[in-house]
Amino acid sequence: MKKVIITLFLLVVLSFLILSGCLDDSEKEDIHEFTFTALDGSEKHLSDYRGKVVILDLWASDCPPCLATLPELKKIYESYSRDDLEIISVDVDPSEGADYIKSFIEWFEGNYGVELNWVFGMDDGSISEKYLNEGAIPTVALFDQVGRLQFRKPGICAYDGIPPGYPAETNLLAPEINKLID
Amino acid sequence: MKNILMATIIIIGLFVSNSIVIAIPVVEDVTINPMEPTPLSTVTITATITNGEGIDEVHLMIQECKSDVLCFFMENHTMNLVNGEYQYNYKLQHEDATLFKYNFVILSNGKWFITEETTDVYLKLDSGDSGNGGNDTPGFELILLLIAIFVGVFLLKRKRYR
Repeated sequence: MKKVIITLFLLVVLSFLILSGCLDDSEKEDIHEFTFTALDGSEKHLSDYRGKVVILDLWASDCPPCLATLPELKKIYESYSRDDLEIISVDVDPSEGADYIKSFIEWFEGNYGVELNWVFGMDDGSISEKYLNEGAIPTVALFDQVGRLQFRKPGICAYDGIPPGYPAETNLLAPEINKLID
Repeated sequence: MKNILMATIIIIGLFVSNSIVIAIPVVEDVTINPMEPTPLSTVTITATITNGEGIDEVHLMIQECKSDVLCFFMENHTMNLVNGEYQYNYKLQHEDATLFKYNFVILSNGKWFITEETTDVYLKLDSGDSGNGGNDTPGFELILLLIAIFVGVFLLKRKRYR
């Protein structure tokens, strides 16, 4: 009887542990695909980057936390090999086209001395619909080497430590990236 | 001589007409009512705009943000002319917003003018608001602890009665 009780107890504990950790796991199992337009007008897909961890950064130029995330994305871009990781910053504001984004990049690089040399593109609405949490930007999503969504959070992000002046709620991406690359 | 004079006058007239300085609309005064709106409330934004030659439209560009963490999509609303002032009643939409930013875009005489600076309006938050609704599944840890205590007590009592 004692063994039965202990077994039941362990089963209850185990089920709670599983339930509390796996509420969104159904989303993680699917292999994702999305399409965006690069600044040169070409159509690109998530599947073009198979074999790499992909950071999808959803942003717009009139969003201060989005701009604050850009230097941190630069740190990430310089910390990993191009064979291992790619960053795709997709502007989700339909009024901001390729020419606007290019001039914004030029302005940002000139003002802040941060080279934005990863992939930039525009959304036709499909990416916002699928990955934006309540229309909040920035939203960063992480896809593993086969295209499974492993992480998605709205809010300002940083690489591996909260820089001075950044809010305490800043999301740190290094632990999530290292899990996938290691 | 007369023809030359006429031609000179016409040329000068054309030159002057092309050089007339277009009056740029100026946002003289903006009132926010209430001055400290709360999340999800309705706030009335009233702007007094002067110096514009035939103002056709005034748009309110407004964006809610949660401090420096994130922002929601910027919205574009056409303001209404009420008693000589431009007004819009905006319903705040995000319960976790802590401020909203706004500026104006004005169509005057066929030209668009954008006010350079955006203004931040901080929202009045409830003092009892913890801010975080609780990202974790609530209560599971407490339930686990209670079950562990009950089972432990039960086993202990059974051991004593044997």
